This record gives sequence, C-alpha cells and structure tokens, in this order.
Amino acid sequence: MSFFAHLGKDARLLLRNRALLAALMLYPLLLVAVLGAAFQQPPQRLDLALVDHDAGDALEVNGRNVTAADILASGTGFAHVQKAASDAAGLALLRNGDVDALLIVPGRFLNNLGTLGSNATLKLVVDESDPLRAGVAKNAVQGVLDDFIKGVVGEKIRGVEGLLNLTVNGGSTVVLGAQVDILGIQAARERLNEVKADLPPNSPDVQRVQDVIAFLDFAGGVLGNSERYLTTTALPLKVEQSGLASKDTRVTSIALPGAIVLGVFWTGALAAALLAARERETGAARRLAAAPAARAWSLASKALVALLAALVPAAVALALGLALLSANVADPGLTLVVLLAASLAAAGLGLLAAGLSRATAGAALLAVLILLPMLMLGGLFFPVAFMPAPARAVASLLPVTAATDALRGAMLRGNDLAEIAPALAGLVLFALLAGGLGAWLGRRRAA
Amino acid sequence: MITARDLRRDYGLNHALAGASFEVPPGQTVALLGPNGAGKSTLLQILAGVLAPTSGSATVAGMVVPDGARGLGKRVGFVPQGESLYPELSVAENLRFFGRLHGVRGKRLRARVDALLSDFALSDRRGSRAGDLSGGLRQRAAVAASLVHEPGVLLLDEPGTGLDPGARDRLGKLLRAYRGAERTVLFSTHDLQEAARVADRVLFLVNGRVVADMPAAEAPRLDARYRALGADA
Repeated sequence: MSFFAHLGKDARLLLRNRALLAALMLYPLLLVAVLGAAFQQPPQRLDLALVDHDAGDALEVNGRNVTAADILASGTGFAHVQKAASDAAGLALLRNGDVDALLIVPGRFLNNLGTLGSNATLKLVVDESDPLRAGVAKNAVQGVLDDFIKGVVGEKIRGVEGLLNLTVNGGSTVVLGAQVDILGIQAARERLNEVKADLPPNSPDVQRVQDVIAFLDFAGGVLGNSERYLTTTALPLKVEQSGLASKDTRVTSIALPGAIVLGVFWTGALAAALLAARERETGAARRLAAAPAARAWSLASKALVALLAALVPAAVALALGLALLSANVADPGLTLVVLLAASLAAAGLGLLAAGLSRATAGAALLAVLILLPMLMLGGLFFPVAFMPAPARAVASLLPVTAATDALRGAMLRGNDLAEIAPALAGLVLFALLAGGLGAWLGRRRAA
Repeated sequence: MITARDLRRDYGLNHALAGASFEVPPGQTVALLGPNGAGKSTLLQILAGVLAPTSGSATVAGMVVPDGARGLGKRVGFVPQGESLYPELSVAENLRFFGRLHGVRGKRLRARVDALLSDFALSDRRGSRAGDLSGGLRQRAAVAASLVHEPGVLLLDEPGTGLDPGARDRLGKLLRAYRGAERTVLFSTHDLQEAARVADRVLFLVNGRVVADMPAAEAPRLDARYRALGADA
C-alpha cells in the first residue's frame, strides 16, 4: 500500500533534518522547562509595604501583644513586610514594583480593633497594571487578615464572655480603678430564695418573688451559653477547602497540561506544515500528483508522522512531570486519547498553514503566526473564564482551548470520556476541516 | 501514443493553452520548444494528469486525460520542472519510494532500482542524499526516479535546465538510450541545439498553440526566428 511508502518517506524526511528536529522536539521541551521553572514554586512570600500610623500600639490577641506589622506576619509567615515612612514612600515602592501591595494602617487602628463596639479600617493599595499580581496580593492579604480577624473576634468574644460570666456567677472587677464586687445572677437567685422562704406561705409576694427567680433562671441559661451564641453569630461561616484532583495538586501539576498542549501544537503543526510545504517546494508534489497512488495516503501519512512527532515532546514532558514534579494523571488512557486528538488537530493546522503558503519558510512562519495567538488565548497562561466576553468567545472556538480543557479534565479533574467528548469531537472536527482545506489549497498551489 | 486535440487551459483571463493539437506516435522522442510562458509546462502537466484542461481532449498511452482512475500514472513517467526529489532521502530511497508509489514491489523493485542506478551511472552515489548531489547528478536521479515503473511514455519538463553542457549531453544520451519501439518521450526545452541532438521531432509552442511541427534535424534553421520569439516573450 502506498500509504506505508509515504509513511517511511515522511518519517525519514523528519528525522534526517537535525535543525528541524531541534525546532520540533527540543524547542517545545525547552518551553516546558521554562514554564516548569516559572511555576516550580508558588509565591512563598508576599512583599508588602506597610505604613503604620498606629506605631507603638499593641493589642492582646490569644494571650500575646501584637502590633499592626505582626498582624501581617501572624500565623502564616506569608508576608515580607517592608515598613515605609509615609503613604507617599509606600506608594513609590509599589509603583517601582518593589512590593506586591501597600497596606496603610490608620491611627488608633489597634485601639479600635480591640474595643468592643468599634470597627477598625485598613487601606490596601495594589497595582492594577498587573492584574494577576494585584489579585494574588489582594487575596493573600485578605487571607492573612481573615486569620487575624478570627483571633481578634475570639478575643472580643472572650471579653464579652467574661462580663457575662461575671453577670451570671458574680465576682469582682475593676471599674474606674476601684475594686467592685458583683453579686451575680446565681447569688441573686439564692438570696431571692431565702427571701421567699422567709415570707408567709399565703403572702402575695411569694408569687412575685417566684416570677423574678424564673426570669433569673432564664437569663442565667441564656447568658451561660453566651460563648456559643457569640461565636456562631460573629463567625457564622467556616470554609473547608478541598479540590477535584485525586491528590494534592501543586502549581507545577496544574501548569503541566498547558505545557504539554503547547508542545503538541508546536511540534504537530510545524511538522505537518514543513512536510507538506517542502514536498511542494521541491516539486515532488507534482510528481506525486502524476502518480497512481491515492492522494489521501500522502495526506494521512503526513498527519500521522506529525501526530507521532507531536507525541514525543508530550510524552517526555509527561514523564518528567510524573518523575520530578509529582504531576497528576487521573486517567492515563483518557489522557492519551486527548493527546491523540490534540495532535491530529495540530497536524490539521499545519496542513492549513502549508496550503496557505507557497514556500516552506512561509508555511513555518504562518504556522507560528497562527499558533501564537491561539496559545495566548487558549487558556494555557491565563484562565479563559477571566477573559472579557469577546476574547472568551474567540477562545471557545480554538482547538488549543479545547485541548487544554480536555487535558486538564483527564489529568487533573478526573473527567470521564462523556464529559470531555465535546472537546474531543471539536478537535477532530477542526483537524478534518483545517486539514481538508489545507489539502485543497495545497493541491491548487502544486498545479 | 500521445494525442492532443484543441487543448485549452485558462488561468482566469490568462490563456496558458489556446488550442494545442498534435500527435506523437509510439517510439518517438519529441522536443517541445517555446519561449517562456508559451504553455509548455501546462501542456506537460495536462498530459501527465496533474492538471485538467479547460477544454479539449488528450489521450496518453491509451488513457484519456484527465484520468479519474489514475491508471495513467502507471503508464506515464513525469519529471516536473525543478528537483522533484526529496533532498533528505538518498538517491536509492527516492527511487524506491517512487517505485512503490507506482506499484513496484519486492524483488522487482530492487532489481529496477539497481538497474537504473547502473544505467544512469549513479551506483556509487546510491547512498548519497539527493540534496547533496550536483545539479547534473540530481537531474539524472530525477529522470531515473520516473522510470522505475517502466512507463511507456516519459514526459520531462525542461530536464536540461541548469545543467552544464557535459551534463546535458549525458542526459541527452540517456534519453536516447531509453527510447524504444514502445517508448515515447516528450520533453520541453529552450535549447534548439539540444532538441535537435536528442529528439526525432520538434514542436514549437507559441502563445498556447503549436505553430510548427518538423523533424528535429530541420529545427536549427529556425534558430533566428526562435530567438526572436524568445526576445518577445
């Protein structure tokens, strides 16, 4: 069958050109390595500028005195705090990119924070010109403050609880510097019982005293549960976090499907474009057109060789990810199916580029020019869901988007075949349409 | 063996062929001469089944072109303009690939490749990549690649272009050696002397029409007129 003759020839063409092999195989691996290095560690520390107009004040939280700077470093060790002398100095640090965010602590902040019935306000300034950095900074600071707020609220609740306990159980406290003894509800109830016992049984005051005792029982019961009521009222919501991935997911694992898609499309599209365009440029395509063999075998061979070439960097990236980065592969079989469909779409893209250009160099350049915006919009680097509606609409039509989403589904989310079938169908449809159009255009150019 | 009747081929408003008619009987070698843009390449591509004519008809090796069943390819060898080989493949690999493409397999394929490499004095370069060969060797390999399946008709589009006189002579000898009772050769060239040396007959193609058809030996007397046509083209 002439298909195998084409297959052997196309494989040799690809393997014998060292520069081409490097561009096809090593370059995507280099990209994967660069991406891997970029995402190797999530941001461990946030650089914050702090302008503390409340310097010197301290607040007792969980039994220790904390300052505003301590708030930011409390518990998480997340923030690297750089103090600035003034708002202007803090803004300058932010503007120069030296810090991720600026936090301004107003005067009497800790006092307001620690006082029952008072609210404290912090001012957070971020650099919107870098939305991702700004978003991370906002979320991180909010997370740090949430943790701290829990401590402050707990402290305030304990203060209220102390007062209520004093009200219920009695004791002594200091009011305006003077020691004051508080009777307490329990003691008041006992004294009323004594009064009641001293009253004549038929006295109308017996019932009145009994009513007061009943009220004190009710008040004691309510105030005795004060801590639970206050805690559930002040902090009504707890968030327990979990993920879809089968095991703990590192940022590197999340980045890996995108890096693999990049490699697949880069290698597959360029390999198909170069094979098809080179054949035409050398004049061999005209010789093929005069041969009795079916033209479809020639195309199928190029698509298959490009597909296999595309799988090489994907397999290497996947192996490295598994071995070195503890990457997740929830469903290996489905992952392979997605990679095959993505490679096929990449080959179709390459054939289209070859059909649109006369020369090999033009086809390669065109393939790269088509690929780059696809890779930018395809959700590899920036979530499609966060894009503006028009960009989202364009992204939803791109094969790179479908491949990235399907691969993340197969590797990370644990999607089954039915769930990613639409993406797979889209990839195959794109391969057929782009490849068919490229073949038709190429045939016209070859003549 | 080759019959063309009023062949026309239009590219938009451009008439590459404007009613070309001629016949080439079996066993004859015919040179197709004409200035640039005369329609030589278009005519050869139509006869090879690569292009469809806009109108008119042709038969090659008993097959009507364009040949939907692609049976034409088994009877015709076509050497398009340019290298038309895969530069990354060796000479032998190119020959084997095109042989397999035309249905030649196994022992017959090996025998044919060996014979052609020997006939075309390429045996010592069988492992060399086509892209590494000189222009003359590459052109010989290109012609050899079109003969693996032993076609009855050989169509060559300017096979001598870019070759030095020595390489052109060698190629001419090979074409003459290939000619036989059942083998027909039609090749295009700009070189009147080459046409006279290699061919039995010469066809002059001007503006998509055959304007002169004569024995090759008589062609050199048209040299001045031919040069004038070339200057006009």
